[in-house]
Amino acid sequence: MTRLFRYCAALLLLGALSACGSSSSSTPADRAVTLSWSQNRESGVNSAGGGYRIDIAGRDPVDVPWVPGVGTPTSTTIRLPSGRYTVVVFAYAALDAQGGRTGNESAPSQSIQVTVP
Amino acid sequence: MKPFSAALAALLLSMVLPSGPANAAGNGPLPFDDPPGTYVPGEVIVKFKASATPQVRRAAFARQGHAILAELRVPGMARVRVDGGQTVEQAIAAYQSDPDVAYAQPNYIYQGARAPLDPLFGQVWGLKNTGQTITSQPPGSPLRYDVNYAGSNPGTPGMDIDVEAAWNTITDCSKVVVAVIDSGINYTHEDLAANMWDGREWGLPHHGWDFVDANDNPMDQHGHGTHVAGTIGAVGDNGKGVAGVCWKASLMAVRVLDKYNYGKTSNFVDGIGFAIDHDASVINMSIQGYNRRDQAYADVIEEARQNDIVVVVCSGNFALDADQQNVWPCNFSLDHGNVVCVAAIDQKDRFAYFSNYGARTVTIGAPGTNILSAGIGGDDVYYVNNGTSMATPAVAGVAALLRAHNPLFGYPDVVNAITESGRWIPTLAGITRTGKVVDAARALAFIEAPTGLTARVE
Repeated sequence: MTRLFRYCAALLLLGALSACGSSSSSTPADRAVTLSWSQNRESGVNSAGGGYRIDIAGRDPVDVPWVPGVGTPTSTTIRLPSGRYTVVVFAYAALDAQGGRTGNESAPSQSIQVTVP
Repeated sequence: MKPFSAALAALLLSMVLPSGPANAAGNGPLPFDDPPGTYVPGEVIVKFKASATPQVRRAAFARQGHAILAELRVPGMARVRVDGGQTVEQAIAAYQSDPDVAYAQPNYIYQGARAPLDPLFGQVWGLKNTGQTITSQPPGSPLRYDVNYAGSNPGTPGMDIDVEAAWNTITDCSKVVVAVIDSGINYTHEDLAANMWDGREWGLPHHGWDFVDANDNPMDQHGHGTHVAGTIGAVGDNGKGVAGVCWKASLMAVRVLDKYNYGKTSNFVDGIGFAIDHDASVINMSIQGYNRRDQAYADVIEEARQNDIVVVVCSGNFALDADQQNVWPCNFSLDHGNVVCVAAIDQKDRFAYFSNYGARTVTIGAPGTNILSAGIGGDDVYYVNNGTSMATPAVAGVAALLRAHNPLFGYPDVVNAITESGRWIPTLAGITRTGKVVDAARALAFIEAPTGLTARVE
């Protein structure tokens, strides 16, 4: 814990807090990976403030928000270096369970394993 | 805390909390941890110290490149447009570091809780439980009714279906046809007339069909169906009587129970068929029977499922274990995924003593004691009734809210949102399938986990 804490602190001092515990930088050798899923039917997911969040173990989350005039995409293409990844997707909306607009999120989808050669 | 950790914590804190002078209350800088959507984007409110002259204030805005949108009524306070690519958070941090500024904050968004202006709504504890006592109205009162469920009256605040929060999102279910398959509806009632299904395009001017007397006039001769209809869709905010779960609704009257409140299989088959044929997407059946399996009844429930109709039914009022008895239509929930069977709870979240139960068959609970709703015998009559019949329409109303808010929803989505989002209470645990009370706001906010995730490596 202490070692990780110091590692994070060092990164923080270098102005790279977001890199702590994950990495999303891309290199030319990375491969394109297209992730697709079924559309959610909640209006909140398919309107302003809604969207999907993709979690890839060891990487920064990928946000796929609703786009005006387009809708909420159900696929996205990312670049990943060689490796094996666990991926899940969440759906989210602006409406919360108190009738407000602080947001709400689904449980994760079933995870899949993605192997990038 | 070790020194290194303390230093890091301080560093992290300095990134979150804007540095600068204490706020006007002397409590230090205002933290900024508000999620987007809770404040007006691109605006901040700035309050200057009393010593700051108008020239100083204008200079401060000029340094930030911001425009004053309005001087507020408090001296030295202004609403400011954030420009120059700054976020609200950055703008607040910048102003907080200005020695002439007392404080800066987001322009927060508030919502008025939507409560209908209906004179008897304060007695409708199932929709808003304030701990009120449901009281009989004595003879001679303009609105006369008796209360006859002594337990748990008064109730406990908050033990309701949480619909007031849902009304911040939606009150209008009029695009969703809800068939009340019952004793008919007093369709001229002051709190129902405006929310009746418009059957004129079908040549049905009286909002449905009467399968008891085989005509097009399903006027209620018992009162049961009118009471049910009121809980689903009594007109909200009209200054009269009560409010339903849906303030605006499309209530289809399908009379299958006679003036003594009895019905028969053949009328149920025809009544459900009528709802299917006339585009209902939610059916309320507050009806109980204890016969052997009724295949004709089952067949038409299945036809409703195939037509994507949610069928909300009562668990019955004989304090029986429906898992061990033939209780229809409740037990259709075992074989037909569109059936939601509803038990009754009281004003303190206790299980109503009369309610049937069933760990496999009974889906969920809803308020079913001392329920005030519309009646017959006049168009301004209201009365209090008890029963799982009174609990069922609260769930049917939530189903209608869900379908109105989410037009893409099929019946599995509606049933899943209701059952997954409900409020768990110990008194329903083990004697219902979910152990939950229906919760309208949480049902509306519920989001299904995405499915069908695949990946393709290019």
